[in-house]
Amino acid sequence: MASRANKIRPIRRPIMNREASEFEPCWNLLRDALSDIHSKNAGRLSFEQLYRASYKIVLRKKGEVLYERVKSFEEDWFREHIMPLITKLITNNIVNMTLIQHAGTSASERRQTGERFLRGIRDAWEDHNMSMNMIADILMYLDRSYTIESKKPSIFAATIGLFRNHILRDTIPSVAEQLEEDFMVFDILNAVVVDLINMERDGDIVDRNLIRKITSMLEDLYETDEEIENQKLYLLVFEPRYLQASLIYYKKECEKLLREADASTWLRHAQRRLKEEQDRCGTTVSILTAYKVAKVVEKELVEAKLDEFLAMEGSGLKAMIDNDRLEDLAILYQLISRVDGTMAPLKNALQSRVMDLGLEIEKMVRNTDFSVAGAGQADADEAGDGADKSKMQPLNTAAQQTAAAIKWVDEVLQLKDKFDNFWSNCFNRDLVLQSAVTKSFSDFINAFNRSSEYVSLFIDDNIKRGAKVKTDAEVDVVLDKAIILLRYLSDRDLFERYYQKHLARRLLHNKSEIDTEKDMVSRMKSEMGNHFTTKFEGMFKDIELSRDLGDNYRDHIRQLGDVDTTKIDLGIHVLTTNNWPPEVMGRGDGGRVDCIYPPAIKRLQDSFYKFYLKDRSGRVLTWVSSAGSADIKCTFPKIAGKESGPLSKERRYELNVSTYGMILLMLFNDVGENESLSFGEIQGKTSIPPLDLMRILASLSIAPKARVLLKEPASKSVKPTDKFSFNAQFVSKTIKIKAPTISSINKVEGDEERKATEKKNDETRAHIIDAAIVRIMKQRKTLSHTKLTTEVITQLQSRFKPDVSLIKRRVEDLLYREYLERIDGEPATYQYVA
Amino acid sequence: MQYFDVATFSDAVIRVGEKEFKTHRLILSSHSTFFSKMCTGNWKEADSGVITLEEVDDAVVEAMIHFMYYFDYNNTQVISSMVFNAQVYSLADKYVIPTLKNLAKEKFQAAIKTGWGMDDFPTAVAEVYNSTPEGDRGLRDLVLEISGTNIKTLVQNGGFRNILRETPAFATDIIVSGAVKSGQKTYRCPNCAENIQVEWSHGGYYYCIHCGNRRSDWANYCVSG
Repeated sequence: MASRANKIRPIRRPIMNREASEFEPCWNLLRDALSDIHSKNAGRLSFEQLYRASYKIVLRKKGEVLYERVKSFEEDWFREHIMPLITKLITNNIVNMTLIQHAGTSASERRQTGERFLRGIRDAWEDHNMSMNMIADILMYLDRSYTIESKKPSIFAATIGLFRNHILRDTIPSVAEQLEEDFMVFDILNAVVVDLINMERDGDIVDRNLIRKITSMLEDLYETDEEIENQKLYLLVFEPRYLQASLIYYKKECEKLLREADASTWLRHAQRRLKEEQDRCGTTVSILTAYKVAKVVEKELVEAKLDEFLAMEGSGLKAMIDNDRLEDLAILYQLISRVDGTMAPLKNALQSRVMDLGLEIEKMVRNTDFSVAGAGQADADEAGDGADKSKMQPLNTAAQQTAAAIKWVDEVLQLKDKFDNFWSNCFNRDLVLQSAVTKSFSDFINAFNRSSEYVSLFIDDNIKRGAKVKTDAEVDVVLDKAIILLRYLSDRDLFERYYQKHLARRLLHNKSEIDTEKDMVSRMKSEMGNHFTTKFEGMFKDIELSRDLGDNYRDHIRQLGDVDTTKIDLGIHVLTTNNWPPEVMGRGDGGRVDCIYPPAIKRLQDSFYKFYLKDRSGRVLTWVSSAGSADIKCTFPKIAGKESGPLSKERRYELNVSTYGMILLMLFNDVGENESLSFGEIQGKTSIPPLDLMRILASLSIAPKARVLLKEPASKSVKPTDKFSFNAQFVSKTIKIKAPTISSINKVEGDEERKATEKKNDETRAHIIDAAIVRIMKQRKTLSHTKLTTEVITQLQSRFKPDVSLIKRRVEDLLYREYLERIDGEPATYQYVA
Repeated sequence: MQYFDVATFSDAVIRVGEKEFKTHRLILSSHSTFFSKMCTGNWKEADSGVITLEEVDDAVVEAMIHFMYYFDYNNTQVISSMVFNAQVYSLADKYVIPTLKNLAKEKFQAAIKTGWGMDDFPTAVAEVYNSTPEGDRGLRDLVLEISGTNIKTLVQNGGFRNILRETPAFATDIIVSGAVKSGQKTYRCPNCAENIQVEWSHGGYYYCIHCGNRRSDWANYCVSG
């Protein structure tokens, strides 16, 4: 309480005077001790005695006097004994070297001079520091009471600060004259330390311990005697200069690397530098700076020229990716994750690389196509414009294109594997990068307008071939990958359409294991949801029911004992129209064409229909002649005049042909030897669509494997003017012969075909969008156009990406049909009409 | 095994007057910064292992050493326990042994509670006021509290009046604490930095008696009570 102290003091003075007489002897004792401590003679001093002396002084309220006396004693001592030592250290040499920076001094010369200077500072500091600690110990009681109460810096802080005030902040007169600017010893000190560290960065060996002593001195000194924690001289003065010098050093180094080295070297160099700086902070500078100097290195050495290094020809990111340089990529990832948490540079580079590689695959696949003759014409052929030259190798071309599709998917999967490998081995399974790469994959896959078809073809190929050559495990792996691709597809409805078509062909022609098919569909189900696979499951069900139906029908026939019809064994697929693709169901472009069946077949059809309707009255069965196949037993007569070889005997073969083929061949049952039928006659008698007829004739009269018909003239393509006759001299090594058919092979669509598919798909989409709009509006009643569009897209995105303009058209259509109405006064807002 | 004044492992001898105690530097240092600085620095005591303590009472030092080994001490002397505990308190303050200081304070408080009416109370008061720095309120406040409560009885006592006369710091404290008791508080005017001793109720506007500064937040400038 200040008031009390003020008022009471005069009364006490007599007592104080009496006590004051004790002060001088105590002080004298202490003063001698201070000298001894500085001269390192403390060993003979009694701590108790000195402590007691200072204790008595404080207890007698003379703390302030003691404090001031110690301080001025130390200042005198410092001036007389320490300053001269330091002044001696400031030689012209060191001044020239650090402040004026004369050229011509070698590194080792500079190092020696610099280290000598630092050693001088260190020794002075260590002596001073030790003495000050001892003095602070004997004056502990002063610090504990007087210093705290008077809010002064501790005696240690006040005396240790002398080093800062009288040495570090001492200006150097000789330099001031030369440079017309004031320089302090501190400037020299900083310059020497920075210079030495740069030497070490250049590969020299410097006295790390010495530098560490200097920096820890700076950590022990503060801007003021208050010793505020964040005002260490180290932080305030040294560190900014050190960081600045590091910045300059690494800026230069980075530019040099850019000129002289490749990205791979740069990566390793940057990594090594970061490690070195980290270590250097531990051993030489201060751990306080570790983070900051790392930031400098990251900025100057990594970030500054990042784009240039990544773009380097032959060693940049492109080369790393193309050549699978996993280590480079791993380092790159570590470095970039230090400088940019969003990973933007790496992310962008990866994305564009994925895009490029994806487009390259597309280009490569397309080029491969065109390098094979006839591919271009094949498109025209399938478009059905009757170009006849391409008839020569229709199968071949189709197979090539299918191969291209499979190649595309294979390549995409390989690319995916490649980036997956990077991701798990180099990128620390970084989620940002994963989603970025996934997005790019999705982008280029969807940018390629045949991706849905190709993926479906790929699955088709693997399921079909899988049944023959691959083990279950292999098929499993491939199908898993196919599912991954499926995830990328945005036009899933288009894929569904293709898959349905391909699946239909496989099922009807028995090209695959039903278990594999079901397995695949169940994978799709878990990936894309129930609605996606309902049609496929319906198809499976049809196939199973048909099998039972066929068995029952055969039992039924046996019971009837109808001997006549047992000659023809009927295998039937009763298909539900909605589950199967329209092409298969004969609902293709030109509508269904009813062909004329031979009487035997017609009887069989009627018999089955009657059987079928027994339990299911009211149903309609439509015979789809374009989708079936038949095994025909044919007999080829012994050829007169041939005594040996296969022609000398009667030959029986079992020929597998399409339904059309069967109709065609049965026609020749009634044609006599040496007679022939023209193309026109055949068509007239069977009503088989000309295109299909051409194909089946080609397969039975051109391919040597199943040439049971002879063609006149014997050219390599079928023309409407050709004539056909029975090839009595047909020979085959196998009993069972499969006539090559086009319709059973799933191949790439031609452009026209494709447009048709897309058009159909768009029509379906229109209905789906209609349904979605009505569903949303029914629930919301009123909604703005933008919100409606967003909702529609959200609802449908699992199936396909709806086109905004399409949505708009559908909305207009619904407005017209009065499902919706506009709201007066609120533009672009709709209301549901109940 | 007991180590109090036992030669086993002993590496320091404390000499006080005629007495010697065998002690252990580790024990001394863990309790007291004074001893730890003494034992770690380059001093005569650290070198010789002989610690001579002067101008202190051997009984009080013994109590201190006893405390370092047993975390308690007893008054083995015939002198007043009020005075003795005040001396231990002062010694603990001098040699920087905070736990002993607290214990001594507790013991002192217990002693004056029953002993304030005794003849040696004034001696204890003198010891308190002369053996610790002015800023050390530990025992001073205890003395003031008990004196304030019993002031009417105490002023009858010649020894007490004597101590009031001889120890002005104590006399001043008595008066000030009396004023505080009466409800007065000391405020330091933020405008003129003068002190005002008045009794102001909360929340009202009052004027500084020195400079006339008018404010309602005097509570923020209260420096006592």
